Amino acid sequence: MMQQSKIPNNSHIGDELLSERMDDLLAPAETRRVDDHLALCDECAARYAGLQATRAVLRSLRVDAAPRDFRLDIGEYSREKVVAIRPISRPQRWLSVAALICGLFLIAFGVFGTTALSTSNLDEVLRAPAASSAGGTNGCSTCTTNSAPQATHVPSAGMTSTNKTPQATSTAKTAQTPVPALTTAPANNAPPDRNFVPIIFITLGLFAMIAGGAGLFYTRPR
Amino acid sequence: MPPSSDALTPPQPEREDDLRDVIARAQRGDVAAFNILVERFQRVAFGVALRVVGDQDLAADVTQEAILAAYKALGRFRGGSFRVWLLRIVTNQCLDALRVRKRRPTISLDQLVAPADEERAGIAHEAALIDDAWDPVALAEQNELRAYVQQALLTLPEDQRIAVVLSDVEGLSYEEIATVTQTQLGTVKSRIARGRARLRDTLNQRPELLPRAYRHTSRADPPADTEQGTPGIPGRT
Repeated sequence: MMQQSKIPNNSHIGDELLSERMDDLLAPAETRRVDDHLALCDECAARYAGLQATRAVLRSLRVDAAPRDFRLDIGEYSREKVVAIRPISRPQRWLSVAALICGLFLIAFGVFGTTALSTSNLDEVLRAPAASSAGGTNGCSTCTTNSAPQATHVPSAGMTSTNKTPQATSTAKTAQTPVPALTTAPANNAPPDRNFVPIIFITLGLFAMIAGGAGLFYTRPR
Repeated sequence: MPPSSDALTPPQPEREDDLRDVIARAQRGDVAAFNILVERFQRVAFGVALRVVGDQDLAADVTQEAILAAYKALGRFRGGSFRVWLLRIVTNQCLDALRVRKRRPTISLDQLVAPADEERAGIAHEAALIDDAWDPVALAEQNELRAYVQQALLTLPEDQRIAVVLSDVEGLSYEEIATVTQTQLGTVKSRIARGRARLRDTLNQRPELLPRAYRHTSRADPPADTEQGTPGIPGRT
């Protein structure tokens, strides 16, 4: 099949074609056609000559030598290279993996473990006095009477046996009645300080996983 | 005798067969081996940088940064032409430098008082465009022409400028330029053609700067001293 000529009929040759002709990038047949056209067309010949002059002048812009030496200082860069290409050693990789595993455990414990603990042991301990308080006693082993002194042992926030705050005083005044808050508290209504436990575990786990992941995937500085 | 279209021999591509061992040693961290590569290619790196950014001090900085970047990235060199790989880094550094300069345009005092870059940089004073290399007038004209072309180069869009510099100043092949600029071959052809055409139009505004053999006129008005016809135009002898 005959190749279609890039030269449009009865018109001038484009600069791209002239540029390709100048660099001998055209097929022989196309080169002949361009040359035939240039032999007859003054305008295209002038543009072609202009391109040739431009290329010749550009070649004269070639620099003979660099103005200074760009070689690197061996003493300075040898050390940097040694540090740069040193791969992460094996113990560091194991540390990263260990940190990842620890992180996973911490997060798992934060999510499931603390909930399990709070519903089993902790709340059982807290429920115990409530169960025995049905008969009028508060169930506290340190209390020997059923009267007012029990108020000092109510595990309420902001009250200790030695610190008689106004809150403690008011509790003491109403100590004749059982403490309903303890007997009916569900597991998920834990005091605020206990709600922080899973968050702390999860946060620590996330930190460990980020550190482990960074150590594992950050292999070699460039 | 008028010069032909190849009056200036195109730069020969540098063979790199002997560099494999040197490159391998450099990749293992041997700075001395890397310096052999620098010694071999610093001229072309600086030459490209100078023509692309148009300022000798900036070009030297760009070259140094490019060489340092090449040293740090040598582990990623996966064979092929080291010159092409280095020029890719150099052109990227040039573009970065031009971007910075565009944001913070400055004119150094050196530029205002120092002689032209051509004279300071040890630029080639090739005699190919002039008949007598020792003719001071001709030499001065040639310097003026170079300065004019350099200014014209700086008016080109960056992609065309890089393509033209790599092709016509440093003599890289179209395939090599495509690798350096990470573009298609057709794009390279187009950029070079458009860049050359724009430079030609700029040169045509100062035809007196061109060597007489390249001042083309129509056949109806032939140049007085070129009775043999226009140089390099096929079919016109």
